Amino acid sequence: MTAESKTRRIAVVNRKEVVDAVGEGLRGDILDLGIGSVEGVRHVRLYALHGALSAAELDRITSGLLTDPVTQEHLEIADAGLPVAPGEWGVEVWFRPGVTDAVGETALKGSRDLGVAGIESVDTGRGYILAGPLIRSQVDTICRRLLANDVIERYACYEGGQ
Amino acid sequence: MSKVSVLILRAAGINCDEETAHAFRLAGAERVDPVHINAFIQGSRRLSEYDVLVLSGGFSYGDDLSGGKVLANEMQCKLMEDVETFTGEGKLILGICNGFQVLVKMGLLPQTEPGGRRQEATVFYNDSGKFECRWVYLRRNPASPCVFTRDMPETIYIPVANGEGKVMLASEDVQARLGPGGHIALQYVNPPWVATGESAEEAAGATAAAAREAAGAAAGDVTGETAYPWSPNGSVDAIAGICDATGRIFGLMPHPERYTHPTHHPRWTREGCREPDGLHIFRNAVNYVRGA
Repeated sequence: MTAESKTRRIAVVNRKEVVDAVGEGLRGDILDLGIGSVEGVRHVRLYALHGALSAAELDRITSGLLTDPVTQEHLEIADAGLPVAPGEWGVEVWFRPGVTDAVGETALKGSRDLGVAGIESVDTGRGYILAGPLIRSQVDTICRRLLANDVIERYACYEGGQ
Repeated sequence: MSKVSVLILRAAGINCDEETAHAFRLAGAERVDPVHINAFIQGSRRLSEYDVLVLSGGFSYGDDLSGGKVLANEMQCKLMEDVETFTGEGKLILGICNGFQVLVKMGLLPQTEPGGRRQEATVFYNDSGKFECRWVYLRRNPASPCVFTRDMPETIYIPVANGEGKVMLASEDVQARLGPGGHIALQYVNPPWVATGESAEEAAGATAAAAREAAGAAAGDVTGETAYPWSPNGSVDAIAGICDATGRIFGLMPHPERYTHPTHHPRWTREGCREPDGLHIFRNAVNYVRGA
């Protein structure tokens, strides 16, 4: 049976016992913005895989290319977004249409090296899970001033449990 | 006397190929060829032409997904049969920095279960979250079968330059097999003037004069804790270099090709010229091939 062409969104995160140096660094940067209520930041790598992929091919890409087997884990996320708990905010940052995604092109090459012919393109993005009693205006400030470059990127943020 | 042929494998983003080729020429190799990986995939060149395969430093494919991962997969999917033949003939493989990441992610290192091609370790982002670029002290493990570090001084001083240099192991079982197998060939150690477990802030009290005076002394005890920044990445057991059970496949995060002339040493004008530690690694490889 031929797989149907569609988009699969993958999130890759460090395992809990592994130091998240990017997240830790960003927490300090957010504090430097004067937003002291942030309690933690987790960095997430996001991939949107476009193409006709069987379950085995999807696993080959996610386990064999996108995820480090020793330090990371991955999950497929629905359009609703990152799995954020109440008291957390999810942030996704993706390139605006037309902006060259060099990392996506590398992921496409790497997928084809693995013999996955049905892959058509890969978009890459960054995700962040912010913990702490933050309000939307603070999260917007964090996104605009720190996490996203508005000229070439768009962002979406959402509160857990909503 | 047999002639020594060395392949420096090139790929997009590799940027230490010429320095590494220079190091092997200095070490006496008669033929040193930097060749792009596509020549081997397309079949216009063969790995079997060479005695030593070198994966040099750089940022293969931009390290876009993680350090060395895409090149590791490319080699596994397109060249693994040739690599297996190459290693089966007792030839040498050296991975430096990005090349070390590739060997680990191919499952060629550490191979605590010989013949297994399972990825038993990884090289991950530095605990500091930063690119660490400076000279480091290393302790050679005299019990290691590594042919590249034979007869070297107990303490080695060469530069490191990476953002993903933290060696992590897949399980405690792998860690338990590393030591008895002699897989850990090089470990980061404190500088001679820093006590074991002492932090950088504490060490800052040491005067420059004391540092110069102690420069020729043995470095700190690696069985204790080597703290940041002396261990620049946060590697398990302060691992800087690993070999397989045969000692013929070796990878390390520091850059030996950056210390192949006495004047590379940052204090050569004050401390005088000495045999470059990095060059020793390349000479060992060349001498091994000649004697094989």
